Amino acid sequence: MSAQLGDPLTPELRDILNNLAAGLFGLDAWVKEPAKYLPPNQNLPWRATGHTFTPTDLAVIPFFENLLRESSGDDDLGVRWGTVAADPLRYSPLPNPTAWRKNRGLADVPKFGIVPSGNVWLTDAAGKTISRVTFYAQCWPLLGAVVGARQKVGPVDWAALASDLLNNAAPEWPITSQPPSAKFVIQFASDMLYGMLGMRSPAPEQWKRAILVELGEYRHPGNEYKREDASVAVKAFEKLAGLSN
Amino acid sequence: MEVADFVIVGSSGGGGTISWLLAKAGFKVVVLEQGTDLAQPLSDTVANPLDKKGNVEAESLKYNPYPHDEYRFRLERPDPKRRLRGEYNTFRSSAAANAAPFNGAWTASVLGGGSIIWGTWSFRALPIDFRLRTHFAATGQLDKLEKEWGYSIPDWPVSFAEMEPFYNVAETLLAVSGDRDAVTTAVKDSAWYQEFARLEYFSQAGNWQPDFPFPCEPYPITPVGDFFWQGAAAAGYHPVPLPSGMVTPGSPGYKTRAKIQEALKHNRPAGAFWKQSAQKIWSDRVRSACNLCGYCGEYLCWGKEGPKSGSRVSTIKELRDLHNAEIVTNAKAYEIIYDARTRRATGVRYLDVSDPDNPRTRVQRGKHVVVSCGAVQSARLLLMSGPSAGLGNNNDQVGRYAMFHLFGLGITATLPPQFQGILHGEFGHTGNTTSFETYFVKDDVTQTDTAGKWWKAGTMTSTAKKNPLENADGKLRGKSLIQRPLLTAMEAYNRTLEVRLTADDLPRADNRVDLDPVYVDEYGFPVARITRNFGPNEQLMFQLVESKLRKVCDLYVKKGILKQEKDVTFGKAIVDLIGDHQMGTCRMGDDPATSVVDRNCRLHDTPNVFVIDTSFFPTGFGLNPMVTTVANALRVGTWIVEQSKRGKGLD
Repeated sequence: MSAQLGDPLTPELRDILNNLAAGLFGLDAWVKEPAKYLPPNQNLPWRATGHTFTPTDLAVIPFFENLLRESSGDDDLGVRWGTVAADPLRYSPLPNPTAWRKNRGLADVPKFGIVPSGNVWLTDAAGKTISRVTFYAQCWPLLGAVVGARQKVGPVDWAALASDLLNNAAPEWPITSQPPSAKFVIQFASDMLYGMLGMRSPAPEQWKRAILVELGEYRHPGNEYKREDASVAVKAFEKLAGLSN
Repeated sequence: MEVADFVIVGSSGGGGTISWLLAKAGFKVVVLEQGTDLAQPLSDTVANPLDKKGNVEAESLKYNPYPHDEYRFRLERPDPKRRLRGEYNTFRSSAAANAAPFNGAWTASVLGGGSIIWGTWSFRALPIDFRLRTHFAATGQLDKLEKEWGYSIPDWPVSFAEMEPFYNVAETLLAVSGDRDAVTTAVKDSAWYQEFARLEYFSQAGNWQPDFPFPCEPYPITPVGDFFWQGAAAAGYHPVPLPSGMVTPGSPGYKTRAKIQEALKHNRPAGAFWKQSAQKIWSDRVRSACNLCGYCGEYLCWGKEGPKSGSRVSTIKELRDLHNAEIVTNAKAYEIIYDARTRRATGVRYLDVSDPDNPRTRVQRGKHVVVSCGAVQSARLLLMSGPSAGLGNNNDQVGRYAMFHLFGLGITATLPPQFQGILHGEFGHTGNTTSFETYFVKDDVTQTDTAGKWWKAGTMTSTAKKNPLENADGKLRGKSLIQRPLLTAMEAYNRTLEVRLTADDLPRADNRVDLDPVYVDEYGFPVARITRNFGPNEQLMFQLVESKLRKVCDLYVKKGILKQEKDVTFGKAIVDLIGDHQMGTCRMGDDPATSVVDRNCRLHDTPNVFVIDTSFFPTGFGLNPMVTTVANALRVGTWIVEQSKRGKGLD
């Protein structure tokens, strides 16, 4: 399995990730719950008889591959932040920043705190800013080992596998590994959510908004409404709340 | 431009407004904005990916999906809109604690500043806000607030009457939608107003009956706004449509010039600038009506003709027509150049961070400097400039009296499953209806010496939940939810709304911004350190307002829809939840010993430097500061023009 930039995920890894995404969310069981909210539009392809609704329908893995590519610059930023952390005044434009600091009563030894400030997305165990592609590259062999072990004893229960990863409970992914499996699965689930709710996935138009439609969320890129739409919605609310006849 | 008359650092409601006025009056103006012009892609025509008809001739060319990406605008790091990539602040809760880097206290770092991503809640302050000291003296509470509790509560050096004509014009620039009569009536019907009206000073504090209509009709009521409206009315409160800086949906478009004309006709501000006709003052641009798309607060409005108000679609746009004005983006100011011999600023040194790995040092010379970076960054810039103690800081006042409002204070109600898909949080911006009932709250809760008295709080406003991805990501990361529990949380979010109290945190000298002694940014400059804690007034507020906020839900409890304990949660303010409402830090006052700028927002000790953002606020109100910031920028700009026309120097 390879996940270098510009080198797409292997078919094998794509399959694993599609299955893991399915196990993370359980979309099919959710939309088939009898008591679940029913969207007003009944003509929804993911609810079609015989269809099993999974994140694969939403093209989350092609989206994920694009995300790996477009966020790869974080590795360069990590190098930069490492340089600044080692020498926080290195890029100062002041002619003598040490003297300038002394004159203002500031500490002799400055620090660069960008990572604890939270203005970076991912870090490694040492606190270095890394890109998604670097983060996941550490995970693929471990994930492969977990899946491989389960495949040897029968069909994989992907929901159970997802739970085990979340709980750092997969023996093939030792708790001492970096990153631990929980960190991996949370990041992966986060990226899947972006694919499913962010509406940037390459899925066909109606499918892009499937999860939002199932949640009763109507905002989407390009939407627009009129005053009358708000008025109709207010009336529906008042009727349901017993505020009007 | 080699030497500008005014170098203006920052482009939001303060800097963006005064830069236009000064340039329009003929001064040579350079605006330095540290961020990019994030909205520039919206000026490019792109095919609408949603248009299946292949019709690229008309509407499809107007749509750009870029600003409708919830991840990019709510989650992405480095944050593309608030912080430059290597920037941060530090926070501590007392002077005795060590400060640590945190993710708060940034307003937008883009052209247009906070006015491009603000929530558009467009209140003008009330007359009492300018006379809070007088008020508490009249009620006998001032000694407790100041001597016992440690606050410093001044009256504003300027009066409501001085501000009023500028409020009118500011509302036209911001295309505020609303119902003036309803707002006035709601204020007057509030219990605190009824109580205070008998005080001698009260009627002289200012005009409590403004009759200049809002320039736009009220924004449509949404289900979330209606939830609050019905509940508040049933509780005996007085709800009104939230005044909003949006061109009202369904209107044929907004002609700023015509509205300025009405404002001038109604109550023309003094000064030669305002003697001009509206045709001379403003172009014939027409702004388009809001289409209720729902990507407002924290997002760029994608409407090219500016349905959502902010400096970029109004004053900055007008400024770009002028040959004597220049806007420089990616210009990170790090020093106001100061000549100690003459006690004057001579310009601004900045980094051109267009290529942030290889920044270039630049100098913009100027006869005057206007600082408008937000109250945190303005204080930082002053403290990094001039003498070792900082520019304008002869009396150790810069950075003090920082105020941030009580963010996080409010109730959250989650309706039962039958309301799935009913609230339609997508309509318009986050706020919709509001009430002044809690502008002051009576202590009918405690048995202490605060009982029976009225204490300062703020407006309460209905607030929709609009960001399902951000919520889901938070539940995943914060509570490790996956599978059905995560989907359950996502479902509940759709049925949830808030009633937020934008309450005042009263000014205290120890709540301040200074230079962090240890932490630096990417370019080795000390970051801003924020020291903040809640005082007794804020702690009291947390006790007093819960029952008043919960009353909004009583109607729904009676109908069996909500259960207070199970479905409605009360949240106190969070001390390090610091956002766009940044005030104080460069207090305006007549006494240099206790303030930083004079009544015209000039530094007492360097009078060719102005501070024009919310930093100058002596007190913080209990409402969004944008309208007051714009109005004050107009007031100060007008004063500058007048001084110049009379041949009087500014220093």
